Amino acid sequence: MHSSFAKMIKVSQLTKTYRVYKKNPGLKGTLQALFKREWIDKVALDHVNLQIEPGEIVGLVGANGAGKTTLVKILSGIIHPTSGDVKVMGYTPFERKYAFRKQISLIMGQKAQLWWDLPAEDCFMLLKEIYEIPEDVYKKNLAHLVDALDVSRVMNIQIRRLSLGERMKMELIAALLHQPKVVFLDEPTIGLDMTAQKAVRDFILDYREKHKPIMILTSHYMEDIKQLAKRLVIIKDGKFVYDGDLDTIAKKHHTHKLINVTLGMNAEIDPNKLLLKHSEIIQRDGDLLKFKVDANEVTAALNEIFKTLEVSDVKVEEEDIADVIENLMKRNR
Amino acid sequence: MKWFFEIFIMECKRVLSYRIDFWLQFGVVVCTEIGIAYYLWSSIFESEGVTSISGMSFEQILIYYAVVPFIVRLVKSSDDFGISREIYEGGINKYIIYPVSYSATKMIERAAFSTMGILQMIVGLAFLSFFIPIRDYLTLENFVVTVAFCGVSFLLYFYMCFCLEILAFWFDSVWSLGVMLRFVTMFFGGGMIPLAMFPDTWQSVLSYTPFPYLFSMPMRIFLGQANFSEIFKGVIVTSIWVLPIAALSYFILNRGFRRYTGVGI
Amino acid sequence: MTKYLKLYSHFLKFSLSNSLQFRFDFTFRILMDCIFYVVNIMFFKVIFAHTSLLGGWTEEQVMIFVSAHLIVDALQMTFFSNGAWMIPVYINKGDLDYYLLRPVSDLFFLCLREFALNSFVNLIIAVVISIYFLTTSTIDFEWWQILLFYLLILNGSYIHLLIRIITITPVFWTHSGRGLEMAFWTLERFAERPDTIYKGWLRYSLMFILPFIALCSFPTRILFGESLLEVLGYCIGISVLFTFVARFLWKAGLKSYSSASS
Repeated sequence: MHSSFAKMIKVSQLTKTYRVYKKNPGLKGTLQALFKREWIDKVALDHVNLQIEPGEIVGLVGANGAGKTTLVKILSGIIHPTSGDVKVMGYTPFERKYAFRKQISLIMGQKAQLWWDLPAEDCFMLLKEIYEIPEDVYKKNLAHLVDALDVSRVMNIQIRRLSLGERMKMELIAALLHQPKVVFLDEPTIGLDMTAQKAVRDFILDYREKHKPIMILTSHYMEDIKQLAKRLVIIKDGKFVYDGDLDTIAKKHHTHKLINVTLGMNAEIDPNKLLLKHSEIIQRDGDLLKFKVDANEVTAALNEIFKTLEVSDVKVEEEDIADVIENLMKRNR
Repeated sequence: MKWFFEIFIMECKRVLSYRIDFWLQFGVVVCTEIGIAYYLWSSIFESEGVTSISGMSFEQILIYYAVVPFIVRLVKSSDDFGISREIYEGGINKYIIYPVSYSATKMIERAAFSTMGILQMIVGLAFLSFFIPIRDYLTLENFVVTVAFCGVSFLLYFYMCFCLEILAFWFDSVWSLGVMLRFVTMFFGGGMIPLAMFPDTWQSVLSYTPFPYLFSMPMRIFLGQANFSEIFKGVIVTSIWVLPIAALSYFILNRGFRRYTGVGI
Repeated sequence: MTKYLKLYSHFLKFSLSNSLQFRFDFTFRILMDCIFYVVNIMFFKVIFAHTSLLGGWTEEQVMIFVSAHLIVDALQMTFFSNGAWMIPVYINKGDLDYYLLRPVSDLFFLCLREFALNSFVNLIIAVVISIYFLTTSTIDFEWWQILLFYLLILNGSYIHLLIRIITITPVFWTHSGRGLEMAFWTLERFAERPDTIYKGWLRYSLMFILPFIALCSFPTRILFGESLLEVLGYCIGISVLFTFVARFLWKAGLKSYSSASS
C-alpha cells in the first residue's frame, strides 16, 4: 500500500471547543440574553493525535462528556473541528464529499437513523437508492445480514413497532448494507438486554472477521470494549490518557486478583464478622466466597484465609479486564 | 374552589414565561392584518370614489382590522389542539382520577390565556394609537364593555371548540376539524370582513347562527356601533347559544370518557 | 438525476401507503381545504359587492387569481409542506446528523420525503376551479398564455418553498422554536391579494425581499396581456436568485450546526 494511505485515519493536534451561553429561564432571562450573553468556552477535545491502520478496531472509553461522541462526529464529518488536522481515507471529513460519505457509516445507539413510519425492508430499499448499491450486491448483502442477525420475521413491520433489540439489529443492517470501509459505532448496545447485547456483539465480531473494516467503538459497557476492541483509547476531559493495546494495559494494571473460596461442609462462620487484613469479600453466594486482594499480597491473604476459615476448595484468578479499565478510568478522574 | 384559582395563576405564569418571539409573533400578525387592509381598502375607496362603505369610513375599517386580531385572541384564547393532544397522549388520564372537572380545568386554563390577552391588547392598542386614530372612536366605557362581552363570546367559542376536540376519543386526528372551525368562525364571525358588508340576505341568515356573536359583536361595541339594548340582547342570545352547545359537549365528553376507560389504558 | 427520480418514486410509494391508514383524518383534511377554498372565493365575492375593480382587476380576473393562489397552496401542501415542517424539529433535536452522512442532497430528502395524497386531491379540485374560471371568463386567452400561467404557478410554489426555507434557517443559530417560520405563515397572506393593490415601499419589499407576489399574482398577469418578458423575467429571476439565497443560508446554517454541536 502507498505510504500516504497506510494510515486510514490520521488525526493530529485535533481540538474542538464550542461556546455555550448561559441563559436564565423566563422572559427576563430572554431579555437579558438579548443584551448581554455570558459565553462559556467548552473544550471537548484538546490537541489529540490518533492514527488508525486498516482493519483495526478501536475502543473509545471515557466518562460522559469526555469527548468520545465529539471525536466520532468529527471523524464522520458531522462536526467541524476547531483546529487541527483530520484525514479519513485521504478525505477531510467535514468537506462531506459524496465519495467520502459513501464509504463510511455511523451507528448511534441513542439516535435512530431509520424512518419510524416505514418497515425495515422499505428503509433498506431507500438506502439502496441513496448509496446506489447495485441490485445483485444489495440482494446478497441484505440476505447475508438478515440471516446473520436473524431478523427475517420482522422485516415487514414498521420500525416503531419493533423491540429495542430488533431495532438495533436493523440499524446495524442499515449501516452495513453499503459495505463501508470505516464504521463508527457510538454506544451500539445502549439500553439493550443481555441477550440482545450479546447478539449484537457476536455479530459485530463476525462481521469484522469477514470484512475487515476499520471500526471505532464507544461504549459504556466495558464488556463491549473487552470483547470487541484490540486497542483501547481512554479519553478524559478531551485528552487521551491512554492509547494502546488492550492486553498490555490489562497486564500492566492488573493491580488486584480474585480469590474464590468454597467453604467446608461444617463451616459456620458468619462472613460478615470476618476481619481480614489482606483481602475483602466482594461477593457471597452460599458456600462460595469471593475475595479481592492486592496482587502483591496474594500469599499473605491466602494464609490468612486458611487460618480463619474451613476451606474445601480455593481458586485464584485474574481480575476481569472490564473492571481493570473501569478502575483505570476512575483513577484518572 | 381554591384549585380554580391555582390553575388560573399557574397558567398566567406560564403565558408570561413564553419566549419573546411568542409576543413578537403576534405583532407580526397585527401588522400584516393592518397592512393588507390598508392597501386593499384604500384601493377600493379610490376606485369607487366613495367616503364610506356599508356605513364604515376608511378610518373605521382600518381600526376594525387593527383591533380584530386582539378580539380574536381574547375570544379564541389558545385553541392549539391541546385538548385533543391530551386525549391522544394520555395526559387526560389524570383527570379520571383527580376530583376536578375536566372541562372546567381546560376552561380556566384558556380563560387565563385570554386574561393575559387583555394585557397584550392594552399595550398593543396604546402603541397602535400613535399611528391609527383609535382614540377618536374609543371610549373607556366601550372598551370595558367590549372586554366584558368577549367573556361571553369566549364561552361560546370554548364550547364549540371543546365539542370538536373531544371527538379525539373516536377519531385519529381532529386538528383538521379544528382548522375548519377556525376558517368558518373567522369568516362568518367577522374576523375577515366586517359582517355589515355582507349582502343583506347573508346577514339575515347569519343572525340565526351563533357566529356574529364571536368577533363581530365585540367589534361593534368597540367602535360604538351598538347601543345598550343591542348589547343586552347580544348577551342574552349568546348565552342561549352557549347552553345547548355546552350541554352537547358534556354529553360527548361523558360518552368519550366511558369509551376511553372501557377500552382500558 | 435518475438516482433522485428513483428516490422520489420510493417517497411516493411510502407516502401513499401511509396516507390511507387514517381514513377519517384523510377525508377531514380534504374537507378542510375545500372550506378554505370556499372562504377565499366568498371573501372576494363580498368585496366585489362594494366595488367593480380591485387594483385594476375585474371580478373575473380576481377569481382567476384566487384559483391560482389555491393551486399554489395545494402544490406546496402536496409536495413540500409535511416534509419541511419537520426541518426545525430536526435542527433543534440534532437529528440532522444522519442526513449529513448520506451521499444525497439533504434538502432534497427533507423537503420531498412526504407526499400528501389528501392535498393532491385538493390540488385536483383547485385546478378544476381554475379551469372553471378560465372557461367561463369573457376574456380570450391564447393557448400559450394558459400554458405559461400554469408553469409560472409551479414556479410560484417553488418560490414559496424557498422563502419558507430561508425563514427556517435562523433556527440554526437560535436553537429554539421554528425561527421566523411562523412569521412566514403570517406574511404569506400578502400573497392572497392581487399585487396591484400594494404601493410604494411595501410593493418593492413584496417583489424583491419577501417576493410573495411572485407566487400567484404575477403568474396571473401573464393572462391579461401584460408585458410577457417583464413577467417571465421577474418570476424566473426571483426563483433563480432565491435558490441561491436559500442554498447559501442553508449551507451557512449547516456549518453553524456542525460547529455548535458537540
